[in-house]
Amino acid sequence: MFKKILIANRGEIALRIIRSCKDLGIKTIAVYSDIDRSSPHVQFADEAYPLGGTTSAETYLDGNKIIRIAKDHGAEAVHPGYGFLAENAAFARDAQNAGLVFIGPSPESIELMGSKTAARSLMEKHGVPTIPGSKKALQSEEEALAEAQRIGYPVLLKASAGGGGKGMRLVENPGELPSALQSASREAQSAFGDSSIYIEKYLEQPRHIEFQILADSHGNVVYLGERECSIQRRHQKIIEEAPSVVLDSELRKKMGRAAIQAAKACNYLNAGTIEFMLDKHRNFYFLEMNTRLQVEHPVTELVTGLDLVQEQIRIACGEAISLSSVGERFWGHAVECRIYAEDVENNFTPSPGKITYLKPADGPGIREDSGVMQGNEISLYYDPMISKLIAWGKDREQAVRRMIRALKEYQLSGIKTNIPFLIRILQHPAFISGELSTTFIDEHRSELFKQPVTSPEAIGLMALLKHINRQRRISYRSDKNHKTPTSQWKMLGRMKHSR
Amino acid sequence: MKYIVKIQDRKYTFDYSENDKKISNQNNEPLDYDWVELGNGCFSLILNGNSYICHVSEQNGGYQIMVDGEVVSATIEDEQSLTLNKFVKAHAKEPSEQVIKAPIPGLVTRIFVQAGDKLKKDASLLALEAMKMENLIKAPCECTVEKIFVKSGQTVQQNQPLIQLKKSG
Repeated sequence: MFKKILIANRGEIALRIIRSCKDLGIKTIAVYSDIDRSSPHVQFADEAYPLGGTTSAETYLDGNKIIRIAKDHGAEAVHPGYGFLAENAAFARDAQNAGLVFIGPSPESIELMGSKTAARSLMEKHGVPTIPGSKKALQSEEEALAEAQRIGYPVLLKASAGGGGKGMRLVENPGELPSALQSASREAQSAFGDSSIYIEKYLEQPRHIEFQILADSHGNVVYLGERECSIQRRHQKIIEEAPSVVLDSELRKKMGRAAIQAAKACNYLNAGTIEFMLDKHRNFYFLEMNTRLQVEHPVTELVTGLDLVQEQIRIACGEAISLSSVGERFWGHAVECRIYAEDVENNFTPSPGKITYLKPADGPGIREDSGVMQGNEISLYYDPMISKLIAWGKDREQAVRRMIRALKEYQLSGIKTNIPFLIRILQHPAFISGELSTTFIDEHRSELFKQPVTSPEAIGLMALLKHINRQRRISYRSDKNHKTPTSQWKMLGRMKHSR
Repeated sequence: MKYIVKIQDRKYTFDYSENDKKISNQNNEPLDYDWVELGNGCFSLILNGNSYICHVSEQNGGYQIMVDGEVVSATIEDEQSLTLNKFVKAHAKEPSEQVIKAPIPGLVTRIFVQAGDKLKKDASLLALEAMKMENLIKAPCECTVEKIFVKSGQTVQQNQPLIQLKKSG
């Protein structure tokens, strides 16, 4: 087992990895940017070293700096988390060349699955179904129009190097295509440094269902069941759950086998996720493979009882996995909500600022993976996700009820969050009955964006009492000529010292 | 003194007595309340036996109340300021010029309009990139572009003026 690991990330995932390392008795090294000095991952690691600078490019994306710190301070392995360098083949290769173990797949697997077009043709070759569309990056607007005509509107434009919804556009008719293509490739260029865009058929009312897999260096590949991540805004997941309400044992086996097939096709090692789209007719299509730990991995942990980060570390150490029976048996149900610093009413724009008050939720069945503390600043430099709440229940209903309770208990002030919006989704009849699709938020827009006020008189009174209190305090201060009263204890202390 | 609390588009009137701290609602019913500050802007209200934990912060001259997973904005006026406002409003004209400000700090990636352009409602004005996402800033109404204060590639702060528009008609 490793003695010391460097965590090349920040926020909740860095802290989450640190915790698993501590459970295994492994020392941890955190790295941090200038503005993250007060972030929890820095406080909870055994050692912490500054990266110098603020932007992602000069800090968490600077692989050379990170590798140098790892070597200088005796780390044997690097855990990349998700985002930043997690799917950067060059970094994985550099780390290996520097004598470090990269906790993840080989650089070759990352490269192969990182190019969506290469991944698609590989999947087709191995009999894994894919969504109709062109396999290669578009060269011109004319080509895009012709291809869209061939597969039929609506179509989806996607960044070849992309992920997380960046550089993605839905196009309903030929008139929209040219401007969508331009803005998608611009977004792709700035997010990934690669402006290539490809096109595919847009599936109507699809569900996003993904399979967690583990692969060890002894040739074992297992799947740990699925996660349904159909609730998305701006093509980014916000609520995930395991298991999915639509999979029966037969379809789960079929998709699980396809996931294993996909992992074997790219010689996969360590934890990975195969994302599928499932249409109305229960046809599934390979979407992409994420060659890293997923944001939503905790729901799998809660229903399988595994610690996926520990599994990753064991696999990276060369141990064999012994979980061949997992994949069919789940304990109850788990739901995850991503808490974002964002303004829901204003098209989900990020809401930066300082967290002036924070009291997270807990209680039966609740886990929180948070990356912030009271007093922390949510900056514009990094992802606006600040925390993940995960609820477990013996069945879906209990898990969802616990999640609603926890979200209502959660108190965070200073920035806007999507908590009220998450509650409205979880309470929506269509969510409760499990009628999910990736267009859920658009479909139920009119109800989800309505802001009900449950007890207006009480809320009115709260505002009034705060208002009156504030006025009284001002007048109190002016009475005393702005002098603050001196504590009797202080005066006693001074008297003692002057004796 | 009478206070009018506005929540969304509804108004709630309260009568507060400075001397005995008693409050009655708009139906002149006295409210049985107990209000305790728990610290850091966090309060406990027990109203007619119903217990609430809430967080109240000041925001744009009003208040933002967070209770039971709801976030509600409220503004308060007392009798005097209400009378004054009515007077001011009666004499003020709606401004025909509007300055579009940056809703969030970010990078101006593209400007779609030029001074003098006549625009329809929801026409794209410029693209603002923040947290790796591109946000389109759109025209709030039918209008003409008067001035553009920023250049493509420029970093802007929150509330920094971007474009000045003149309402059509």
